[in-house]
Amino acid sequence: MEKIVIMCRSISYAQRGERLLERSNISASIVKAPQSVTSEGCSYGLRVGEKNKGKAIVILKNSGIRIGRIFKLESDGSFVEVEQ
Amino acid sequence: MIYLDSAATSLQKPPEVASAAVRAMKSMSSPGRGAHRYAMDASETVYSCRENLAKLFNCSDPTKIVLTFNATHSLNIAIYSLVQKGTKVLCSGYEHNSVMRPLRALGAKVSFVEAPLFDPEAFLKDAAVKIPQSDVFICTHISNVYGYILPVKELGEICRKNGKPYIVDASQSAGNTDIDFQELNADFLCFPGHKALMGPQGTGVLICKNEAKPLLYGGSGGNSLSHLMPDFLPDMLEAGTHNTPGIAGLNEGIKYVMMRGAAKIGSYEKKIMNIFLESLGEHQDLKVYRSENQDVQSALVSMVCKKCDCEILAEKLAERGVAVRAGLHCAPEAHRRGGSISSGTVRFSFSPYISAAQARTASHELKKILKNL
Repeated sequence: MEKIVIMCRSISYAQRGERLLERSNISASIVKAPQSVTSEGCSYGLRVGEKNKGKAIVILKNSGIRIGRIFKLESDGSFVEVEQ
Repeated sequence: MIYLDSAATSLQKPPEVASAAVRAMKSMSSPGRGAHRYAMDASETVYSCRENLAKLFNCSDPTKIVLTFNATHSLNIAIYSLVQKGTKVLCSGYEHNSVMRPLRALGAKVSFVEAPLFDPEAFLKDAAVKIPQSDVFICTHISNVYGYILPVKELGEICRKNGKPYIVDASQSAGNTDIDFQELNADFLCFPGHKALMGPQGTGVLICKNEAKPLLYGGSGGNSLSHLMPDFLPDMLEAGTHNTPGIAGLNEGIKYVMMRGAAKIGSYEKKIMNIFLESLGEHQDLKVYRSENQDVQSALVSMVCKKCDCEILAEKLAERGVAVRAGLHCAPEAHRRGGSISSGTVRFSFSPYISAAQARTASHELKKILKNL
C-alpha cells in the first residue's frame, strides 16, 4: 500500500495524532523525517496509508493539530512532497 | 518506622513505581531524540504519562501537560510567565517559598487575602474584593502547614468573571483530591509528582491553559535549525533531556491513583488522621491546628507543644520510630496567618499506606513523650 508522511510540530503532536487516527481505525506510525526534506531541522511525522490521507488530515485539523508538509514515501525510502 | 511525612515526599509507593523507573533506566534513552526503539520507548512512556495526567485532571489536550522537575519548577514557569516588576500579585497567604521567592526576585507588589484560618467564607469575601484590584491571583489549594483546603473552584470563578490570571499550587492536593482543570478556570495548575501522586523525586507537572514563557532554553528534540525555543506546548517549556526514569515511575503512581480514586485516597487518609487525633485526645500542653469541618481540613495536621521546641519534639518522635516534619515547612506566610511563626509546628501527614494501628501507635508514642516533658 502507498504511504504518505504528514509532518507534525513535534513528537508529542505526532503521538497525539497517532492516537486520534487509531481511534478512527486509521493505522498510523511515527517516523523521523530525513534532514534533507525538513525545513526546521529534526522533525517527526505520521506515516499513514495514502488512501486515508484526506480523512487523516480532517481528523488532525479538527483536533487542533497543526500539520506541516506532506510527503509520499517512495519504495526506496525517499520522501517526495505532495499537495495537501 | 511509621512515616507521617508524606506532605514532604511520599515514601511508601506502589512497587510498580520503582520497577518502572529501573526499567526505564535500563531500556530507554531520551524521548524525541531519535527513531530507534530506545528513544521511541521513552517517547511512548512520556506521552502515556501526559495522557494519564490529562485524564486524571480532566485536561482535554495532553500536549498542555508540561513535565517539569518539581512543583517549584512548575510554579516558577507560571510566575515568570505572568509576573514582572511591579505586577500586583494577590496571594492566598498560605504560599510556600516556591511562590514567595520568585515573586520577590521579580519585584512583584505582593498582597494577601486576609481571613482567619479554616474560614473559607471569610476568605472568599475578602478575595472577591481584592482579586479585581490585582493583576494576578496565586492560590495554594491545600496549606502544607495546616492542611487547610482553600475554595479554589469558587476563587477560579471570581478570577474568570474579572478576567484575572490565576495560578493554583496543588502540591498538597494532587493525588488525594479530585481536581478538574477545566472547572478550575486556572491558567496554570502546578504540582509535584513525588507526593500524593506517588512518583519519584525529580518529577513535577504544569498544566497550562495557554502558552507560557520558557524558563530554560535548550534542545527540545525538534525545530533544531532555529536558535529560538519552539512556540508551542509542551516543547517550549521542556528544554533538555527529560527525567525519563522519573516520568516512567510517575506514570505508575498516577495509574495507582486513578485505580483507587484520588478522593477515596484523601478520604481514607483523613479517616486515619482522625483515628490518630482521637487516640491522642486533648492535651493541655499541645495546641492542635485543626478544623472540625472535614470539608476544609485535609489529612495533614500541625501542632505546637508549649513545653518543647518543635524540632526537639520531632527528634524525640523519630527516636521512637515516628517520622514527622518540624519547623516552618518553607511557608512562613502561612505561619503568620495561623499564629505559629515564632515556634514553627510539628506536622503529621498521612498516606494511603498508613494503617489505623500505626496511627494509634504514633499517637501513643507522642503521648509518652508529652508525659515525660
